[in-house]
Amino acid sequence: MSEAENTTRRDFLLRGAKAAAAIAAAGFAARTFRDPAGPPAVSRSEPLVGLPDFSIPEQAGKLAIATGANRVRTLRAAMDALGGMGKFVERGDRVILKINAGFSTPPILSATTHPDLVSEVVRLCLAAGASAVMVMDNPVNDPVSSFELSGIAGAARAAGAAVILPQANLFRPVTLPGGEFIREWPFFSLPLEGATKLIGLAPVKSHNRAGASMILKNWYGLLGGRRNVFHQDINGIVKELAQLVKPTLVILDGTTAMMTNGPTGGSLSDLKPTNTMIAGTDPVAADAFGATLLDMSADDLPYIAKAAAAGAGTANYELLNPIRIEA
Amino acid sequence: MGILILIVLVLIGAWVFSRQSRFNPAILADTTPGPAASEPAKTFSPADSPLSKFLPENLAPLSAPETFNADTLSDKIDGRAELYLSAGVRELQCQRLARPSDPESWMEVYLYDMGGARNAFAVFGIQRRDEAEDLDVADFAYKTPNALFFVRGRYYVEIVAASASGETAADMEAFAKRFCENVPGDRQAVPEAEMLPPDNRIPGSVILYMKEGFGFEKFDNLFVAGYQFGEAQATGFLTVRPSTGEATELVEAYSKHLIANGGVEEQTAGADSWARIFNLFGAYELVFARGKCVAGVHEADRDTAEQLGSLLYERLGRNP
Repeated sequence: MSEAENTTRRDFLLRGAKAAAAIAAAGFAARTFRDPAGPPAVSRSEPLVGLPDFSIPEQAGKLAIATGANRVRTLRAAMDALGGMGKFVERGDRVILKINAGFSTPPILSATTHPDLVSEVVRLCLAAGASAVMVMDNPVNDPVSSFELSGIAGAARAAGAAVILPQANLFRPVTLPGGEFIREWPFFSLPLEGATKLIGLAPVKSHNRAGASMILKNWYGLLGGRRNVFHQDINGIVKELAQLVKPTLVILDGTTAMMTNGPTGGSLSDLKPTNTMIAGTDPVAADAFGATLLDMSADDLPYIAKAAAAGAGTANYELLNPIRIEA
Repeated sequence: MGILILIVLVLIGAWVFSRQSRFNPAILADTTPGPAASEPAKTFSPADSPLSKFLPENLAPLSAPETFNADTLSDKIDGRAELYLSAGVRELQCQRLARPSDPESWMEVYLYDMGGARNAFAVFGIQRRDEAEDLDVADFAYKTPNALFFVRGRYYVEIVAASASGETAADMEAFAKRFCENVPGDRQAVPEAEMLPPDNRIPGSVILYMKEGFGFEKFDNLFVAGYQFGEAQATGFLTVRPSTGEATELVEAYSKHLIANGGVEEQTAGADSWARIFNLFGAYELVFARGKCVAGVHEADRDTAEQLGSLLYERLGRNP
């Protein structure tokens, strides 16, 4: 005899009631958890197309070249020649300093942005009225070690800036419209999205792969993921970074240049005192002049011509009538 | 029906090909930014240090050891990794050391396992710093104000100090000595370094190109050295081939390469019977074979090319 044939009317009604209760509970739960607004239009994991433009149109094409052995003095002289930091940073600005903290090496090796330069730029920004100054990079080596051993973390904090380490939740896929390489690539972009000004600070170094590492190559430190795949076309990726990142100001520190064995160096004999500080608003022009400190020309660094052709600046820095000062 | 299925398959194939040709590097992207910044400092025991047996008594590890292989080398040395990869690097071990009484004066040891003494010499020579001071603590060694570099067996070692002082220099040399006491040398693995004439040679200028010396694809295992003759400078070169026949063939191939790049062969004066000489837009190139050796002079004026060429030829006659 089958189970159905044994079912009584009472069992049937009991089962029916249980089923109705389950359906009602499921409906209630669905109503409770239903979000009538739906997900936000843009989530943090969605690709960002381009980056904010931090440049100031009225300050376009400015370049100052200060010579002298004291980097604080040459920085001040170069900034004075550009009209002072107040031309670039206004009251209430949230300023990002994209420094080069790539390696866990001491400042004397000049493989990273010098802490004296970091602290002085922080001070100038705060004096100009910035509400916050943040120092960031995604180093090649361990981030904490790199920021600490390079002296950058200590210098930044002492001068009143915050240090932003490359936490995973600060990265977001970014696409450069028309880009070949930067397509939904993880980018250290969240701090930039909350900032109003961006200043690039880089040392002058030879680079075994790129030829040289200065302002444009320093944007590489905004990339996340397995970025060394881009070494296969280093000029192409640096060109795209030049198109993508539009800074307020760039400061290229040529007080000491790493002439050989870059980008890490290792010996003081890799270095040469070149006693020059370059500040301006055209990253391509800054790098083109920086190349001369490495006994090169802009023509020796293919990414400079590519960036210029892409409209990121001019390789002929003399066209900008740079202001030259001795400090 | 069969034709219809084939057409569909062809269309699918075309679509796959089209998608593959538009390679998006983001598909390889690791969404993590690298070492987690919030990760607490790794604990380590000095006894676990791969360098422990090389440590002089007054030095102790200051950080956990790090190890990188060929795939991860650029995570430590970025753009310089290419040089090591082309020379066959197997592994890099790094660790910071310091005197416990003075941790601010730290140094970092970079221990490259290059897989062989020739590979180690290749990366040593090509990075040799100008105005360095040669040392005799290892197979090949020199120091600069803040660093010491040496080759021992298959290892290339860099010790880089955070400051330049007499104490750190002494500690670096002590480390190198302990290392060499524990690791056998293999200086004889690069006999060509001794075959280049010592007279007029610029100290510390010997370099080994493992591949494509002077941009010529057949010049592998090419030893070069700088020479000074009064005001004139020149580069001498040498490579040893498996047989005399292959040496002769290489001279012929290099001559063709020079001519293809604009070189014009000229008659030799003193070196007429044993060398070929080319005028390459005003600079002279000389090349010859002697036994299994191919040697010559690169980028010199004509007199210097013939002078250095003669020195090389005579030297190789004494070292067949």
